[in-house]
Amino acid sequence: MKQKVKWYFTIFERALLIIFLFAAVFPIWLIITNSLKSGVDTFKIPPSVFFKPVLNNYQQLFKTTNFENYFKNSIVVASFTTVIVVMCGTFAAYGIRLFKSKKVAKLSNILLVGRAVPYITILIPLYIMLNKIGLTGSLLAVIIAHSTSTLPFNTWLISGFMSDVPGELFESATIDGCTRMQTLFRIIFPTLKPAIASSAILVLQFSWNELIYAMGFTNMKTYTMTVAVARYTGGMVVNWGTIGAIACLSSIPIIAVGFFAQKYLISGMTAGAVKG
Amino acid sequence: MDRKSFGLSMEKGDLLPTILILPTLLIVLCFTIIPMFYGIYVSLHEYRLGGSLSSENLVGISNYVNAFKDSTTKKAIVNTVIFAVGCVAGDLVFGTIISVLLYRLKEGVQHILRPFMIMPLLVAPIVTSLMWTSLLDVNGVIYWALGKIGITYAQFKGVSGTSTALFCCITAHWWTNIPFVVIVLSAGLLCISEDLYEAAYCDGVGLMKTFWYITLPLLKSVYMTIILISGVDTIKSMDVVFGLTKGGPNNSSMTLNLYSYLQAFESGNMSYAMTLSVLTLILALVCFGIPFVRYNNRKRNQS
Repeated sequence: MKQKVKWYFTIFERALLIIFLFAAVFPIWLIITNSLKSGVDTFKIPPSVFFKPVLNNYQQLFKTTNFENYFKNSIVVASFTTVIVVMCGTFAAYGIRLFKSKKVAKLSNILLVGRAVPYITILIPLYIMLNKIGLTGSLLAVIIAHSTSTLPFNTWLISGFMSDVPGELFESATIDGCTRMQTLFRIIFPTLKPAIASSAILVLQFSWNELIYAMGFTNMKTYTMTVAVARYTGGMVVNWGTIGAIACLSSIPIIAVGFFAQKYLISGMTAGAVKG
Repeated sequence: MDRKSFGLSMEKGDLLPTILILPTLLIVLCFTIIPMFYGIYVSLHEYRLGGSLSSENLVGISNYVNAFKDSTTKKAIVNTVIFAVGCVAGDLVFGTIISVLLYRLKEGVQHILRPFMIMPLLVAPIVTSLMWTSLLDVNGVIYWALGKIGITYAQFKGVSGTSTALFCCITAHWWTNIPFVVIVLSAGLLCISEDLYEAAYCDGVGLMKTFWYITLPLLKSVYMTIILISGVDTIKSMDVVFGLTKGGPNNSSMTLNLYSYLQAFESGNMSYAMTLSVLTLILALVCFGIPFVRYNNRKRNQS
């Protein structure tokens, strides 16, 4: 596929790629610059490339809303969900590997059904149930919902990586006198670090960006970032500067994490598809 | 993989593997499986939030009968299917073009460009829908650009037109999901041996034909997985539609799960909302969920 082609075709290819790249980056660039513009500048069409950056929008946002709180809530939800899912997922994947029968190994594919369950199907009954025991409005409800909807797929993902670990590794650990739990902590965790990182970044990204559960289960005090974005932009007079500021504050952390953990993000996403 | 060479063999009555699986099993059982059946149970009643779930309110399948009489539900089912098919089709076409274009670049350039290409994936869907609201604003950039080629608001009504709202949602969804397709396809392209292309080149086969007769057949399983994963995610997700049009105008971009959400949390009509979400579940399982599991089982059997 890397064969040489006529020069005009190469130009056509590069132009096409630049258009796509522009389409991917332009909306993000626009929302970031909008958040740094003062009122009049945001309405300029075409958007100005050079302008005097101001922090008005951010100052106003922190003055009128409870943003530190929402940010903290998001961090609590995302980190707890990630820890729960990665821990339980790894344990379960190890358990599946320990079962000798092939039926259990096959059963692990049933976990994939969990991925097909729409969020709304769980949200409503879970809401009714948690409402009865007074858990709605708490962050715990959101953590529960996020965990249960990501756990099946991530167990399946780690289980796939786990089955690639050669049996000899387990064997030699036994010969050296490791118990099975010691094998898990001393052998499996270190070897599977990349796989666990992949799973963790996928869960983190889901949990940070998730809106529907968070919106259903939280109240004024426990809004996460995404809910704040949805609520505040709904009622606001259209002011793209402030909206840009909210959008930036909620997406910059996860974009930064994704950038640094790019390798793991990619390996997590391709694991299910390419390797099988 | 050879299970016989596994040193830590299990004996009869060995509880450790079960204990290890137990937390996951309990979480999924308590918070996914039980709620799901409870939801089906609720959908057989007449129930509003705060009301009682007694046998007096048992109405059988009349909620389902009403759902199929409700014109909004019918519209929502059609929209959900159009939305899923439109999103996946666009994802595949644009994703293929982008990943092939990226593949044909030098490796160093690929590494520089890739982070920018996958950036949209990391942005929360609700933020995406905000961006597109601002882009599709009447005074926004898209109308400015369309104005340059002579298309006015009257000709293309964007998110406020009944015939164009769903298309706008599909476009915004493309923006979020194409990076995923690019990531997976790029990995798939790298697995194809360079020799095959060289052989084709020596035989004088053109670029298009090489792609059609070599790349595409070899990527069949990758495409299959992308279709199933993206399809299921599209039916499940509602953030983009919620943020962009909220189902409007006049229900023209209403999807099944969004309608269900609005019934539950804006009208408080829990049992009817649950009926709709059971329909969403059936749609997701029949179209993508079951094929996905069966496909993966077959793949694991082969290897």
